[in-house]
Amino acid sequence: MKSFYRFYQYVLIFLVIAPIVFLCAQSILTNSLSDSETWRFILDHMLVGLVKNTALLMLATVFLSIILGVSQASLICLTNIPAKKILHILFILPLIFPLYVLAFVYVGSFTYSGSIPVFFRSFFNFDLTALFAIKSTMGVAMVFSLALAPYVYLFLRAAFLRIDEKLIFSARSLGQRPFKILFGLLMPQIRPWIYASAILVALEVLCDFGGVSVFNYDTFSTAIYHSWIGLFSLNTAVKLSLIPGLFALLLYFANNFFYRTYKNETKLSRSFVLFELTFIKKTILLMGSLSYCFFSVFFPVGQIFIWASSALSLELNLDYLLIIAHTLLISLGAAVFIALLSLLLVNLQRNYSSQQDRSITIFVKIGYALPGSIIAIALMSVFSLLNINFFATFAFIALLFAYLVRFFSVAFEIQSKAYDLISKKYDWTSYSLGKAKFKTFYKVHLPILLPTLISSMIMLLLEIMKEMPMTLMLRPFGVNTLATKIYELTSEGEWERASISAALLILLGALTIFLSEYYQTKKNEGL
Amino acid sequence: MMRSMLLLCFLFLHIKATATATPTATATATATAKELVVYTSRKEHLIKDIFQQYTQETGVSIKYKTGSSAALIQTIKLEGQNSPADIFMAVDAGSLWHATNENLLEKVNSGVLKINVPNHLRDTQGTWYGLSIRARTIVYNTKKVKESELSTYENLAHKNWKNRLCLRTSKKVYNQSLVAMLIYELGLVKAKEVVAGWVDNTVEIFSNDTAVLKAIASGQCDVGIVNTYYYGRLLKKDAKLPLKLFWPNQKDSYGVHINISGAGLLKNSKFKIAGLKFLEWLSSKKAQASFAQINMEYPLDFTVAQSDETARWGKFKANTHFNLTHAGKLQKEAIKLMQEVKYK
Repeated sequence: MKSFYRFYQYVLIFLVIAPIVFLCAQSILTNSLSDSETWRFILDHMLVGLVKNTALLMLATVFLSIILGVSQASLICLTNIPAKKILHILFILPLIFPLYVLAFVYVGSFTYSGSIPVFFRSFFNFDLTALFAIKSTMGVAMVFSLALAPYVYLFLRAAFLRIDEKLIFSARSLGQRPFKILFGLLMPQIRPWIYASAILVALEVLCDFGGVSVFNYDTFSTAIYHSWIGLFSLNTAVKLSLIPGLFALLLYFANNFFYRTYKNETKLSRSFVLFELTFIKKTILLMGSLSYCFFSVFFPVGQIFIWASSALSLELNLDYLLIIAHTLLISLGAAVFIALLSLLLVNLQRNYSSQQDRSITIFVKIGYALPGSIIAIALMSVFSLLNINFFATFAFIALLFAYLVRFFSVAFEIQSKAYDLISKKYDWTSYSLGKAKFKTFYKVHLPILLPTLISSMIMLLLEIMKEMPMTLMLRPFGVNTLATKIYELTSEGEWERASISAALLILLGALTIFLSEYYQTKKNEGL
Repeated sequence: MMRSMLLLCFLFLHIKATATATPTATATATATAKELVVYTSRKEHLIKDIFQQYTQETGVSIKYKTGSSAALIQTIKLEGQNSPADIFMAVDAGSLWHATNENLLEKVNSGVLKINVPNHLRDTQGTWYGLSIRARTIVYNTKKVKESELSTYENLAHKNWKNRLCLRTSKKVYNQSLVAMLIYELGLVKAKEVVAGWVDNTVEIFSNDTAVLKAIASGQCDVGIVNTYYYGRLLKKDAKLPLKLFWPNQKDSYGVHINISGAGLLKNSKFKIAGLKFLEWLSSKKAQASFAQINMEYPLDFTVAQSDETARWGKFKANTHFNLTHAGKLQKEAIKLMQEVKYK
């Protein structure tokens, strides 16, 4: 079985990496004179600015997202704030927004001609844009962190829930103050989760194209598209996309290094109250959270629905039913498929892996750092070798494959973290009772992992529903999803009409989140 | 394990079998088509009705795949001989030039197309043909600018317009074609001066034309350069906006910069005759009216019925001197120029 584990792991790595390697090899082999010229031009005129812009945006977004995520998780897990369930849902709801949608809402409302500055000018005779420019690094980072903070929050919440209460009690009995406990005792324990979520946020920023292009903010991904679409040099685009790819590998290596140091096995504890809040503090924090949620949820949702309603008569038709069906079918199918493949890997890894085997898995995750359209081209290049009528035969398989390359790490991260936290003692007990490895997995691990499996599927579902460039390139004939519809309409400047798809996408995402939360609550009640 | 290996082998053989079966279809290049496949970066809501109209008239149904033109070109390239596509349609001459450059488009010798599509709106070798005209012109705030202040694209680089100009991003192909035209008409040095002047005068750069129009209407800036149909669309929503179009470079000059949305027949099409017929039909006066009207663009022949909106904006002299093949040829040059003067 150990050999099967190795075989499976290498097959997955091969599947993820081979198309990219193939594309790189091809781009080196077919490099023409004009490609070299373009490459030279980018090195000379753009690279420094790109690195600076991208790094600044990444740092600012990661910083803001962590501040937001850590505060939210602390508020929910460590205090006695009321309405925790509602706040929890509100904190994760921004996951329903694709970055490009949130970007177009904020740019649309906060530029000089947008509704908010117009309001300020006409009622207070005050130019808001002089105070704060939305199209600045800080503006982009703020909008992005609204959308990305939920990732940090979810990671950190999971970390807090796994902290041993006994530690807190001991620290308290030794007379430590709550803040000292939080920063001195808890922070070191949750640090690996912070790193992991920071990497996720950083890679989201690095790969995003739709969002930054609404802001007209240049990063690596805009340069990748620009050199391909504008300068007609796909080879340059491929070369450029390797830089963020390698950077991601570096981050993963670093993360593995830190994570190994801090690995611990504890069981889920019920949340404990570290900070007893007075009524006034509760009110202040609650008001603060709600005003935050105004920006992260209510305002963008409201704006999208207002825009959508203005285009309803023009745009809404029965085709949308089909589009919704396609969106759900594709993303649900792919989410289940990827989550199961990942579950098999984490299971095999638990039973058979050595440390060395584990460090290899970072290669499976590289897809998350590559732009979707480059992955799509890589897959098309490989499929074209088979000399087949691509779209008639293999479009859906290729699309599934592309999602696998891009999003495998999402499922894998969530599942492997949770799996690691199940104590090995369970396995040994099960073996000693004569249960084989598969039986142990099925009877012991799976029931514990089920919520994680489902939440990994939900994450995948949300990611895939929002995914645009790969879906656009690889979807079979006549198939439109909500994300491709948004692209179609926004690229013609039809923001109001695109809002209908955005609104539907948001509704589907919210529904998914509500269902999963409902399920988790049921599950907890059953325990 | 054994079973899965066998399954894999079977799957592979199946692929091989389908692969060898397809080339037979290529032999029927002249067969009558019941269906044509169009790869298009012109968006679904701008083509659906006119494609249906063609199906009703001829019985030939049109299947289409939308996407960005660079992605579609790459798709066609990779599909090679097996590509199901017959027609490539794009919304700018640059992309069509790129497709020609990648050797994907067939040279077409059609009398009908030559008559219907003016010289400057088609490829010099006959690989692609314009099907509607998109004019990129100056727009101004009527409360802040007098028409007499405006004259040419070049004039917007003058100090008078300091902090009064709004532009769309240089990453949009419409601006790349415009600058390519300036390079062609004025030469590299002068064109660079002009664009640098624009950048110097710019208040803000936007990601789309509608945002430029809104910025001008709200008083953030006074003038800008946009495609006319965006103006038309915005005014349909709010007719009271203080915006007006201005046609630059009319007297003793080259005229308004125009681009096209157009199409070409693909080399690997299995139904070239049917494809050509479809292109010819699209260029016909009858199809022209609806193809252009649906998006408030201009028909190839200005005598064809225009939409009420475009008619209201008045007549103008378009730049017929600049063949749009050059828009593609000079695109790289234009991008580099804009990059050098820090036009973001």
